[in-house]
Amino acid sequence: MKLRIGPPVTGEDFYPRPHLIQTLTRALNGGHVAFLGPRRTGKTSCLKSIVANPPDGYVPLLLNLEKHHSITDWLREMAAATRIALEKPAPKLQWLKETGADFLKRLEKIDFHGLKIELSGSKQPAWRPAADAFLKLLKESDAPLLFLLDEFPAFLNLVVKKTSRDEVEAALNWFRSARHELSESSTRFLVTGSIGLKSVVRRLGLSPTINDFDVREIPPLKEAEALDLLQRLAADNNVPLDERGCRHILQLLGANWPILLQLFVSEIQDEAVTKPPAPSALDRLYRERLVCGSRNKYCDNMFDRLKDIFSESECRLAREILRTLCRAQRPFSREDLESLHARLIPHDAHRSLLADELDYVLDALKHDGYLLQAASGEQRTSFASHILRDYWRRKTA
Amino acid sequence: MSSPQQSFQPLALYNPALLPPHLLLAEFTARRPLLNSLVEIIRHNAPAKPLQHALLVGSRGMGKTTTLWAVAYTVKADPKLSRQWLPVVFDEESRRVGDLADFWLEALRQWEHAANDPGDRAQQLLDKADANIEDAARKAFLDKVDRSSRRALLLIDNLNDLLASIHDPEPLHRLRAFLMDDSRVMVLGTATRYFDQITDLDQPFYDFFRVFDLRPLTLEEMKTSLLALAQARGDKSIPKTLEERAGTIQGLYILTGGNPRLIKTFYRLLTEGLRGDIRTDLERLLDEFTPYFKAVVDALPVQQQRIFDAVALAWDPVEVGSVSRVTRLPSNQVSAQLRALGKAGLISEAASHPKRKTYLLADRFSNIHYLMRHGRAARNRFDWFVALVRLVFPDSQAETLARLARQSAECGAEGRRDAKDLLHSALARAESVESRRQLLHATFRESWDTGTLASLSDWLDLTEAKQHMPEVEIVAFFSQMPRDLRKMLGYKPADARWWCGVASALERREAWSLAAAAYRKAVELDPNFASAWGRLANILALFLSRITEAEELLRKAIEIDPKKSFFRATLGNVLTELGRYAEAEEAFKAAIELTPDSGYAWAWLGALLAEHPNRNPEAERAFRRAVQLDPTDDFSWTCLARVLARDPARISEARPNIVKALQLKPDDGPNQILFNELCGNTSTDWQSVLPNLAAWCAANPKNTETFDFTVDGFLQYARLTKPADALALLQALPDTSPFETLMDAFRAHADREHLNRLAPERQAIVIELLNRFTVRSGA
Repeated sequence: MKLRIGPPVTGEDFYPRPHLIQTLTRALNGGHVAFLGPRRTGKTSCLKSIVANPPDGYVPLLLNLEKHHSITDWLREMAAATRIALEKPAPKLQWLKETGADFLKRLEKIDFHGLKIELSGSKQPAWRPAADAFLKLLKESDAPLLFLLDEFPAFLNLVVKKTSRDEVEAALNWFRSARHELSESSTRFLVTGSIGLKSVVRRLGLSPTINDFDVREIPPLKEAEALDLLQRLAADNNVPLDERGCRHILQLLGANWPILLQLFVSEIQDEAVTKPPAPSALDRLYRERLVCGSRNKYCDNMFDRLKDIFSESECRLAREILRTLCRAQRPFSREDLESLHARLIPHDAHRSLLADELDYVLDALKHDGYLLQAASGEQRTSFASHILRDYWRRKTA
Repeated sequence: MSSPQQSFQPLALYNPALLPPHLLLAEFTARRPLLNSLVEIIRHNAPAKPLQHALLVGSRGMGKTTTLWAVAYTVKADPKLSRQWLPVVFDEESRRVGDLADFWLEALRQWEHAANDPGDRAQQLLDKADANIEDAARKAFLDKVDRSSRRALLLIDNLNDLLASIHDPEPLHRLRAFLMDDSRVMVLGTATRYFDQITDLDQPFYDFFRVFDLRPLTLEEMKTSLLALAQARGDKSIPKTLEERAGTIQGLYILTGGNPRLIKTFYRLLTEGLRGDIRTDLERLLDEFTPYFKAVVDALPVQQQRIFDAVALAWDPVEVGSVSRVTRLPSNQVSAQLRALGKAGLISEAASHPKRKTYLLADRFSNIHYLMRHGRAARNRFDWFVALVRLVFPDSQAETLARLARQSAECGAEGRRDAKDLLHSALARAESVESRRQLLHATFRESWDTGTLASLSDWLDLTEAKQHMPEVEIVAFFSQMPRDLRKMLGYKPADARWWCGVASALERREAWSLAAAAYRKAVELDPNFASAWGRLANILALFLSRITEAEELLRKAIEIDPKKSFFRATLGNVLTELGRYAEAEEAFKAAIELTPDSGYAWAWLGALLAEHPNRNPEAERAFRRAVQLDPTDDFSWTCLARVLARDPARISEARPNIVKALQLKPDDGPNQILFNELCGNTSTDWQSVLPNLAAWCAANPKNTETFDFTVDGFLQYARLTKPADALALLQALPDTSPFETLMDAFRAHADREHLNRLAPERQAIVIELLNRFTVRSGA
């Protein structure tokens, strides 16, 4: 398992997450899924793992949408990916053997350029007919296609910039109806991305268009998994690190995101040590390289961007949450957070007008990588990593 | 491995591409573990898998570009890697990329260059002006890559600039998507700092690269680097230098901050010395090293600039309180701004007491630059240059600084100002009185026999210098002397005899005080230098009226060298001045006893005896002996004439002696007076002396007293004989030019018409001369 920082990891470099993959698969069996989580937490790697080992009965199609800025391109890519998958001379699913050829023929007939269809007086986007045709094809053929749409939120942002909000609204509305129509079929959609889907659609005022997704969040590794990952990384990359050191690293980081573990091991590797570092040496590395060093600019950015992504009121709430939480003895419960909100906005009526403010802020902070909510128990909320927590302590001292 | 030729290879401080591959790799030691890590990443970037891309982050001079080239050469040299990858190094300063299409076009160009492909496909695409040039360029580039059966390793300097040039999110996302999905292209980039495109959560390339910080070298790494440089270039002196000059190396490490480019520059200084071009390189390095720093500082808010300035000028770590006092800003504001400056990477906390934080400029070399360029007192600006020179050349710092000052002083008014400031700084920063003296001596030695010494007072503060070296005045005097004389004398201030030579030269120019100071220097260096004591006493006695002190010094000289008659004779003179005649006579006699042939001893004895009329015969005998021993000494002749003339019956006996004296020293006033007294009315005596007088006047045209005496002498001769005889005497001279007017007067005396042939101004003088002649002669 080689140190990989930045790219999605595959094959032997991917730390298996069978439980997570199973959760996603089960969710997909029941409907369409929004696979959410902060940036650089391994979502794309999971998708690639699904492609490498697809769920039974599915043809997985992984599409990176960030290179597109139009709905037509998206549709075209879905069609192209479908075509490629069906034309592969690999062992085919029963469905493909039976209906694949016919499917392809029908697919060829759909004009994704959207130029030939003209309906006078219609406000319909040019791509709509092709989209509807594609949807009809999927529905009628009951194609067991699993569309893994990576960088979906980024794609929406690019479409907004390139065309208009109306275009995005039209696309999301179509997509919602498509999901609805396909809910009883075998086709499934899983959307994910490196920026928060909910915050993107909320900013566009289009939250209802995604509220049918079964939302699954990527969790950090469990402690045993994290320890195992550290040990394997150390062993396979010739980095001297013993179990005591591994545990100390987990304690320092406070969050078992694979990227943070990779980063820490890479810093030890850069030190070119010949024996496992003592806890004090690991403390120094953490302090100098991760908190104050290379990650410092990232932390600065995280601090500064709050005012860019939030309104004034939301920003005030977000800062208060982070400022208080970084000094708290334990993670916050829902009650703790509501009390904090109440301290900022004591007037009940005023606070009720901002009913979803707390939820939105928490959601955004989670998806931006600030906070982590436990999946079980009281589902308390803490900092997603000690790096950010310790930075906040210094910043707000 | 190394050959003599390699020591002449450029260090390629700013363009590592100039170095031959084997030399670059041989010198690439300090960052070898990094190189190995990067090569391993390349090795494990398998086809059809998402690639690991990487980024090197480090400030200027940390070795980013050198590392890129090291990667390129290593991949090319590895049989397996070179089959899989073609390294493509982008031009460091390329400004051709404005958008993603330009990026692909540039990739195409650089690929063709790296592959020796003469295709110029990029130009063809530009000429075609395809509306979808981005896709066309990308496809053309990938076509070439595919046809080569290798993959492209793009080595891109200043990747942050490239991404900023593209800047639009849409193409950046496209590029990211490509690099994520397509394993044919790997990017290894560099940047001088972390930048928004990789640290901003909302940016496409957030956390996309594996980042390697190029940190400053440790002290051990610096030594390793210097040894590797030396070995690769066949320099054998460096290992010894590192051993013997541990303090210098430590100081170098602090000043360079472990910056590889600076270390290389200092390597060059260690091996080649501080020549003019090296100084230029150093100043250029200082200039080039901090433009980004300057731009950053200039962009700071005013208050932060003030605080930055205060910290920079302090050099040593400062507390908030100190900065607050200097800037007159409240402490809390200072603290806040220091934090902001720390966040920007400009200021860092020094390792100090945990409860009392101190701050200093993060980049130490930039601090030197700042002090040199922005020091409050203009003279401070060389402080750090001086510190550098002292550090690099501890054994020859005085000579080095002196040479630099001299070179600077030769460069006009500005250069002389620089030289003055440099020497002032060097004197101020010298560690001891002795090192200041060494510096001053080195300065004088350096310029002693050059034309630059003439302008010494323009580029050396003599008042300041005199505080450290009193004899500066003497040296400064020599700045006005002919260069040939200085060259002949040389500059040997440690040599007592040299100071004696200097004193003699000063005596000849009648610079009595300076000559005395020079003799004092001689005896300071050599307390047993009897001659110097004696000559010093002589000057004190004869020209500076310090008779008592002269006696003391003469007795010292006699003590050291009892057999030297000169000292006793001079002591006799001094005792005479002091009115101690009996002792003086004893001293003279003692001198004569030691050296019976000492003409001056006899002469001075005679002079003493002549003071007492009843001892005239003894005086006469003494003088006769003196003239016998030294016929060229006019003093003895004059004194003999004077003694003889005391007896009116012996005036005729006295006259030849004064004639002789005047012949020997025509310009001596007392000789002239005595001659007039004894021989003034004797034409033959005038006939004897006038040719010598005339020759002397011709050789010394500025001396009007002797000229007037000579003119009067010719007139007197004319009276005693006749004008025609005087004219004939004049005409017999080899050079009559000073006396043309006098000759005209004698002609006019014989022929009044001659007056009318003269110009009016000469006429007037001739008439005046005729009047003088007429009045005296009664004619």
